[in-house]
Amino acid sequence: MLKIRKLKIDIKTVQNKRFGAFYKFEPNKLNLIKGNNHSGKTTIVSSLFYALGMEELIGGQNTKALDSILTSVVKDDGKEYTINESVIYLEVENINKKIITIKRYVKHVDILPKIAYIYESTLNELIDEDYSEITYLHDGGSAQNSLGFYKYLEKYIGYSLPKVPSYNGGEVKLYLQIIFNAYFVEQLKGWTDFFASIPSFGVKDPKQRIVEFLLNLDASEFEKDKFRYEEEKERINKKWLEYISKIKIKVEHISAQINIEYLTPISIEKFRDSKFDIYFTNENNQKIVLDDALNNIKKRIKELYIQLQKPSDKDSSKRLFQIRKNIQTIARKISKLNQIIDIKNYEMKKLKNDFSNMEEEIRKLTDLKKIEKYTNSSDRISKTLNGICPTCEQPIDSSFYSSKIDNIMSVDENKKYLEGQKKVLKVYIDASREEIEKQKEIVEFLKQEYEERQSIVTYLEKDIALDTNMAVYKEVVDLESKEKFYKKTIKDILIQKEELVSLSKDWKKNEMNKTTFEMSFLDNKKITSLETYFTRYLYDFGYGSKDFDQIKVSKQKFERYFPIVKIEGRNEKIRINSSASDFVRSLWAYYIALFEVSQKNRGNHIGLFIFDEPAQHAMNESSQKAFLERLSQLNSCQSIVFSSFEDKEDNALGKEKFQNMIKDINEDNIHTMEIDGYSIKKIV
Amino acid sequence: MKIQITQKPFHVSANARVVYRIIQLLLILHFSRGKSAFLSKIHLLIWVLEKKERIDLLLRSKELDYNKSIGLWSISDYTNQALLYMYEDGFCKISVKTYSLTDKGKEFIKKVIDDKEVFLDEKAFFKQLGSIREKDIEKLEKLWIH
Repeated sequence: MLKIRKLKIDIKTVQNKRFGAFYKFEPNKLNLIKGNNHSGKTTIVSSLFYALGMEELIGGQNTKALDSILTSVVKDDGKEYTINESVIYLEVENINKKIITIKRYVKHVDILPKIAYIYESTLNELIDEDYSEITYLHDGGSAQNSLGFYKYLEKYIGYSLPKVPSYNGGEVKLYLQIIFNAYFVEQLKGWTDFFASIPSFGVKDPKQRIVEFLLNLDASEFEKDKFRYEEEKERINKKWLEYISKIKIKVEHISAQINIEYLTPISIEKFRDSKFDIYFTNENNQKIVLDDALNNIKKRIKELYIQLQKPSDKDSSKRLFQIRKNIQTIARKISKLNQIIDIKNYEMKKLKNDFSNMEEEIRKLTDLKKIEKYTNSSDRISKTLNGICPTCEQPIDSSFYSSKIDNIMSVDENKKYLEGQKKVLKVYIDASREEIEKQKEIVEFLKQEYEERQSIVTYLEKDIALDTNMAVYKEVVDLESKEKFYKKTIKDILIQKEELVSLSKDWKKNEMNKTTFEMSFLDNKKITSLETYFTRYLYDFGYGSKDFDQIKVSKQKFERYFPIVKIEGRNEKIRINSSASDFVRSLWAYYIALFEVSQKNRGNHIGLFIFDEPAQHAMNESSQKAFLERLSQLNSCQSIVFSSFEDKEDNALGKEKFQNMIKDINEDNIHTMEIDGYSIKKIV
Repeated sequence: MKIQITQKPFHVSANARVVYRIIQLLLILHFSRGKSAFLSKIHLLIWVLEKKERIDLLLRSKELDYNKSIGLWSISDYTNQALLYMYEDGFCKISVKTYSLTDKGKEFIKKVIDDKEVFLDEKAFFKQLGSIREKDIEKLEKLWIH
């Protein structure tokens, strides 16, 4: 829980004039700040954000997103005063009623904006030298180190932020700035989408993580179970392919073929008792099954033994011819395989080249990221490096061709993207390398065969000359060792088959753990309750773009936890199916509903809203009235709403409208303030 | 069946990013004699820096006193755009066809030079290359026809 009590802005100028502002807020009430356009309302809003280290929600770290009135020049009575020091104090209170004051400089000669002082006292009793902690922001580790501001704030609020999945497959801490999207809505971008100002911290699906955290959903545990299932599935698949490829290599070693690619862990059941179909293809392209081949060998050995009993072999010259033909076939095969290997090697070289180019690009992007500390320095040494044209002061794009492409990756995103691509490429390179190795093994085997035949040829030539039977002896020996080798191969394959069967059992077991539900029972209840609150508020606020029974809060993957509209069986985002003002109504309803559900279920909502100009797009009065009434009735929730409530033509009419809007709100629930003239005033 | 198409942001190489090009240009000027360089040299070096092979090619050519061709190089419009930005930002000044670093530019690039973690390959390349003269570039240009 966090409540804002007081805000003080103190500005010193070179001309020795002091300026400042002071605001007191009521905890657990609706704090309504009325100020005309150009009254410096936004300065107050950004000061609140800045003091809590949430300036990234308005567009940048440190003072980047702040008004010039806090950073450089104050105007008063037509005169300009140059600021030499400005500081913001914020007094807050937590659930234990512990009051602290945060002090953060916007401009100071020595003290950088990334430093925040913490005082364990109220603003009134604060003695400047008497701070209890110095903390750091946006300084690698500020969310994790004990000296980090966010770490301090996290503890103070009473949060213990979980680790969540990151883009690149690891885990990161869920950042406070991400969660504060549910509490703070600024006027420029804030009303354009749910949690529109979300900064990128490498968190995967940050919007979903916010809802899970606020409502204390057990989705992460649920996700982990799902993840375990996926992981096991992947392990089985990987092992499966490994065994299949082992079998294939074994088969290739005896120059045979096998068709087992179609086998899956599910279909192996059917093949449990049958043998794999291992076969040879002979010169005439006929299939010979391994069993038959073995029988042929046995038969041939028998024949040869009979032949040995005869005085000499008359067929030597005929056989010589046949074997020579055989040798030619083998030689052709070898040269063909070598060609394939050459092609693969060439491909490999190209892949490796791509890989090193990618590494080079990643290095460049890393450098670019690292020098951000020089280019983005607050002194703005260069406008171009900060994305502003030095001539016309208009924003320029970060790449040279973004005028043609409007949606380009940031340096960070780009780096992550390339690292992902690099991983894929690495897998591909490894696979290619393995493939080449395999082909080389086959070539080796064929070479051996070639030599064996070659030696028989020598024996046969001698037999013809000397009238002996040496070639027959040689063939018997060779065939007997071949028979042994075939038998061993069959045995090995049977062992591999057993592995496959056992894998298929693992598969079955894993499939039983697969959950068919999208979320747990309790989460389901919470999201249903969110939907009930959400649609009720939509009705209260006068939403009219779609029928209420079409509007759901998604429990599926698409827009999970966010409102969707069902149209003819399709689910669509509520944003594209609502008028502009109706979409703003749905944002109001959603943010308040989140608070209600969080409170009812002991979730993590801090009970604080800062809404800057919520009445966007010519919002009608009755909607605004209902919205403010709803905020004022929220139990133990502080809301701070900034709005102009202006009537362009008639100032008096504007005032009347304003009075009308709050007339039904119980006085105990509201605290109104009016910015008179300009928010930052000269202090005499 | 439902198909959803969402536009993903495009990948943009570091070489096409404004900040990266400016740093490259500042490095070129920093490592040039008198902290200034003429336009044709700037274009050549930007082209070389784009790929590692080109860096190796140029260094090999240097060993042979620039008698070995490095192939055709191109002139990038982006470089001119970036130089313009640098001029407007007060990082460099122009006289005839020579660009030179201003004090502001020197001060800024010094931070990158002093940082021992960034642009290491580029720094090493410039140190190895030393100074490349207009004469050398003309030599390389003449090799185009061969």
